[in-house]
Amino acid sequence: MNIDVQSYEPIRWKSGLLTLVFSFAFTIVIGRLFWVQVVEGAKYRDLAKKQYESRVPLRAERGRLVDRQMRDLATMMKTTSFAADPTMIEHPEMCAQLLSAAAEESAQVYLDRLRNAQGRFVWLARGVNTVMFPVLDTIRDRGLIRVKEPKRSFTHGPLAAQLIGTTDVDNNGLTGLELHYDGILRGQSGFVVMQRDGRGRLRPGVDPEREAPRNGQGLQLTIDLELQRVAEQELARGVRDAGAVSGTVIAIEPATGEILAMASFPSFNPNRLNTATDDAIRIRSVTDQYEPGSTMKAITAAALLEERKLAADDKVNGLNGVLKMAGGAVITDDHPVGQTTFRGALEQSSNVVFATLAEQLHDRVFYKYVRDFGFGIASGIDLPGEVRGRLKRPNEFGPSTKQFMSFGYGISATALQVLDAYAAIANGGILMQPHVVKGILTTDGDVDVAIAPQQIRRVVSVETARILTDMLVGVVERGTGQEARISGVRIAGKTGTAQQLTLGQYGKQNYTASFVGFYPADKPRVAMIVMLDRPITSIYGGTTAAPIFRRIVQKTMTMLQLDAVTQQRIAASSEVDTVIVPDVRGLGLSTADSVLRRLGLRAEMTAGAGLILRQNPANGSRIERGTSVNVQGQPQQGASQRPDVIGFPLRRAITVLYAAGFNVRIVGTGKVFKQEWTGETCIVSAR
Amino acid sequence: MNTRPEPSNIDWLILLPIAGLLMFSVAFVYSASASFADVKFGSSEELVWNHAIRVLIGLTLMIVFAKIDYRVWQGTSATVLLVAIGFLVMVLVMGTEIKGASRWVKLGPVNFQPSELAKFALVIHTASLLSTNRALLRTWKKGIVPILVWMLPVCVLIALQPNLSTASVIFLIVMVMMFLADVDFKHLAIIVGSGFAIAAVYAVSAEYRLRRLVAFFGGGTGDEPVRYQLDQALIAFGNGGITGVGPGQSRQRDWFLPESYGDFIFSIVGEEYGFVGVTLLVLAFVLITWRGYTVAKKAPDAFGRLLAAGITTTLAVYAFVNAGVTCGILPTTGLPMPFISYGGSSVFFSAIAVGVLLNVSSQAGVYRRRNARPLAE
Repeated sequence: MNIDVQSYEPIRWKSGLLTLVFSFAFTIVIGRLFWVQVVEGAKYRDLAKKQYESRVPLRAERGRLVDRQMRDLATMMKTTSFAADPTMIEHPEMCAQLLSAAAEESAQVYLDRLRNAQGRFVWLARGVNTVMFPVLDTIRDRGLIRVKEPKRSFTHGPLAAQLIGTTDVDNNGLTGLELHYDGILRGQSGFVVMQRDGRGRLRPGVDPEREAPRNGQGLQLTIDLELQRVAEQELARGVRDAGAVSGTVIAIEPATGEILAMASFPSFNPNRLNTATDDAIRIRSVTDQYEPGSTMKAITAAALLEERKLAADDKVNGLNGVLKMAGGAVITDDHPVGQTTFRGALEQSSNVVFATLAEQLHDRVFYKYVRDFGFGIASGIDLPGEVRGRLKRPNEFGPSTKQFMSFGYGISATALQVLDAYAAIANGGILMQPHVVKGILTTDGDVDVAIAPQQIRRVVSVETARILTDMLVGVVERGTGQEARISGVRIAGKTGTAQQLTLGQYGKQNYTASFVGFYPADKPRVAMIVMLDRPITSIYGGTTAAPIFRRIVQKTMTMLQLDAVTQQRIAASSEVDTVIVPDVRGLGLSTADSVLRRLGLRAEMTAGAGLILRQNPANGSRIERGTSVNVQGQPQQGASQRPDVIGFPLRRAITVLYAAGFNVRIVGTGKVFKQEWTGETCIVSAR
Repeated sequence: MNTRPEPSNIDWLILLPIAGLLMFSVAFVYSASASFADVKFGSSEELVWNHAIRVLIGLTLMIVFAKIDYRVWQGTSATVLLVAIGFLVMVLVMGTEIKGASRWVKLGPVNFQPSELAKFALVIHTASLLSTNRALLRTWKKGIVPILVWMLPVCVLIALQPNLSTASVIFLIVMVMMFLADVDFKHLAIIVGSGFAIAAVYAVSAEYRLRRLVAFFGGGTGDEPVRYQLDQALIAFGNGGITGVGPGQSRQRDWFLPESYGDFIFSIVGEEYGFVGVTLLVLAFVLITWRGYTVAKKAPDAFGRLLAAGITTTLAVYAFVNAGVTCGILPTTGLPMPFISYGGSSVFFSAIAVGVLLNVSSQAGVYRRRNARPLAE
C-alpha cells in the first residue's frame, strides 16, 4: 500500500532529478580526476619530480702534491664554511664571537656582515678548520648555515707557495701547478639528488640518487722539499742582505731536467691569500726576463770551443779593459786584464776579450749556439705564464749586436733559460727538458704515470762541455765567483752583473746580480741559479748572489750522498741550520711527531691529550734543527670537563659525549632533558 | 504485524559516510598541515589537534541535534537567522581581516565564521517560509518577496566581506529550494536572471575576482598566484596517480600548495590516496546526496522535506564546487570541502545540519515503510 499517493508532491520527482543532476556533476569530477591522475598522471609526475628534486654537487677533493720523496706539500683538509640567514639568526653576537675565535677576523667584522647583508644569505667565514675549534659545531642557531668544504692544507705553510699555486674557493686552480695541472688535480665532482620543499629548502631523501665525486689525482713533484726549504730561506736572507727588490733561485738535476727547487722572493702565505699581491704570487723564474750579462760568456765560450776557434789556454788580449767599438760605443771591464789566457778572461769576466773573440764567429753560427742552448724559445716547462725571452735573429743583428750579446746584453732570458744552458754544459752538452712533475699519482697515492726525462738536443760535444766545466771551476776557484767556493766540493759557476735598461738607457742605478753554476763539477748532481733584482749593498753577482749559492749548497750537501769525511768538513764550515716550524695543530701526537721529525725536530706533549690545539713555537717561526716543539692537546677529561648536553638533539649529544671519551647509555628519543653520570658512562634521557 | 524490535532510528547510510569522512579528515588534515604547522608553530601536530577536537565536538553536536525534533526549528528559524545576520554585520564592522577579506568574528576565545551559521539558518528559515506559505507560493507578494527579504541581506552582507562565492552558492541553494517547493518557473527565471546580472557586475567590479576568472579561462600571464595554486593542485593529483603516494607521504604540502589543509585539501587526498581514494571520497558524497534527497522525498511534512532537501543541496553543492575548483573544472573560489577541510565553523555547522537531517530521516521512514509515521493529512 502507498499511504501518500493521494497528494501530488512535485518535490518527489524534483528530488529525484536533483539526485541525478548531482550524480552527473560528481561523475564529471571523477572523470576529470581520471584524466588528471591516470591519463595525464605521468606528465604531472614529471612536473612534480622537477620541482621536488635538486641536484646538489658533491665536490671532489683535489689531488695532493708531494715532493720527489713523497713528502706531503699540499693535502686536503676538511673545513666548514659558515653562512647565515640574517633574518633567522638568533644569537648574532655569540656566533660572531665564536667565529672570530676560530677564523681570522674580529667579531665586529662578522656582525657588520650580518647587519649589512641584503637578502637571506651571506657568507660569514669560509674554510674554517673546525677540528681545532669543536665549539663551533655546538652553536645552535636556526639562522646559521654550515657547509662542509674540503680546502687545501699546506703542510709546510708558505713553502713552494708560488710553485704549488693557488685555488679559489670553488676548487678551480688559479696559478702555479694548481692551474697547469688543474685537469688532473681537480677530479670530477659528483652530485646527490636532494629533496626540495616549496620554500626552496633542501633535505636528503631516502636512498637518494647520487654519483660519487671522483677525487683528483695527485702529483709527485720533482721538487726536493729540503732543497726548496733551504733555497727559500737563503734567498730571503740574501735579498734582504743585498737590499734587493726581488730574487729567484732555481735548482735542477742536469741529467734529467728535473727541477729540484724553485724559489721566488717575495713570497706569500697561501693560507692568507687575500693579502698576497701578484708580485708575490708569480713564478719569477719563468715569468720574468732580464738581460743575463756575464753569465752569457759561458755560452759564447762554448761556441768558440766547439767551433775550435781557440783552446782554453790560448793567449788573448784584454786591452786593459777598454774597447772602442765601431759605432763609437766603449766596452769596459770591471776587472781589467791585459795579456791573458782564454781561461783567465772567463775567470776575470773580461767583456773586452769576449767582444773581441765573438768577431771570430759568423752571425749565424753564433745565433745557432745561443738558440740551441734554449734562448729565445720557451723551455716548455710545465708551469703557467712562461715567457720566451728575446733573441734577435741574425738578420736583425746590427754592427755590434753579436759583440754585446757575447757578454749578455741585447738579449733577454728567464732565469730558467740561463740555468738550462748551464745544465746542458753540466750534462755533457745535452739539453734536457726541464719539468716540475715527476709522476701522476693514483688516488691511493701510488705512482700512476711516471714522467721520464726527455732530451731536447745535443748542443755541444762532451769534450767541449768538459773543457768549459773546467774553465768554470776556475771562475769559482780563482775568479769572480770565489764567494761560492766550498772546500771539499768542486763547483763550476759564473757570475753575472748586468745593468738594467732604465727608460731605454743602461744606467748605473739598477743591476741584475746573478750566479749560476753546478756541482760537483766532475759529476754534476745539481745546477743552480741565484738571481737578484736591483741589489743595493753591492751590485756584483760575485758578492751578492754567489754567497747565497754557497750557503744553499752547504746546507744541502747531505743530498749529494758524499762520503762522510767530506760531509763533516762541509758541515763544520757552514752555519747552524734552522728550519721553519710547520703547523701541527689539529694533528694527533704521532702524526705531528713524524711531520716534525722529517725536519729534524721533535714533538713534546706538555699538556692535554688527543688532537693538538696549541704549539710553541708557532708555525712559521724559525728554530734550530734538533730542538723540540711543545704541543698541547685537548684538556684532560675530568669531572669538571663532563660536557653538558641537556637540550641537545640526541644524536648530537651522543657525538659530543663520544668525542669527549665517555660511554653513553640512552633512554628515549628526541631531545635530551636529563643526564646522569656513573663513572665514565653518561646516561642520557631524551624525549 | 510488527514482530521484530523497533529498528534503530539512526540513518546509518548518512551517519556512517559522514562520520567516516570526519574521521579520515583528521588524517588528511594532519598530512596537509604538518609542514605548515611545523614552521609556523614549531610543532607539526599543532593544527591537527585543533581539528581532532573539533571533529569530536562536531560528532557530539550531530548526535545531539539528531535527537531534537526538527519541527522545533520551524518556529525558531527566524530568530536564529536574525542572530546570524547580526553576526554578519559585526564581521563587517569589527571582523578579523585575513588575506584581504573579513570573514571571522572573535567570540571569546574562538574565531568563528558567521557565514557558515547564516548559510544553514537561511536554509532552515527558507524551508520554513516555503512550507508555511504553500498556498501563496505562486504569488510574488505573499510567496516570493518574504523569501527574498531574508535572502538578500544575507547574500549582500556576505558579498561585502567580500566573499562572492559563498554569497552566490547561498543564492543558488535558495533557488534550488524554491524550485523544489514548486515556485512558478517564470518567477524563478526572473530572480535567477537578475541574480546572474548582479553577480556579473560584481565579479568584474573587483580586479582580483576578474583576474581569477581570466586565469581560469586560460588567459593572463599564467603566473598569477591563483594559477600557481591550481597548477600545484593538479600536480598533487597527478603525482598521486591511481593509488597515491601513501598516507603521510604528500610532498605538495611541503610549501608547494598554499592552503593545502584548507580549501585545497582534496588535492592532498588525491596525492596520498590516488584516484582510488578521491573516487571513494566523491562516492561518499554521492551516497550522502542520494540518501539526503531520499529523505526529502519521504519526510512526513513539507517543512521536513524542504529542510532535508535544503541541507542535502548545501552539502552537495559545497562538495561539488570544492572538488571542481581543486581539479580545475570550476574557477577558483574559497569554499571548504564539508567534513574534510580544516576549519571549526565549517565542521560545527555542517555537523549540526547533518544532525537535523538525521532527525528528519528518523521520522521519514526511509528504512521501512511500516515504521513510517503517517502523514499529517
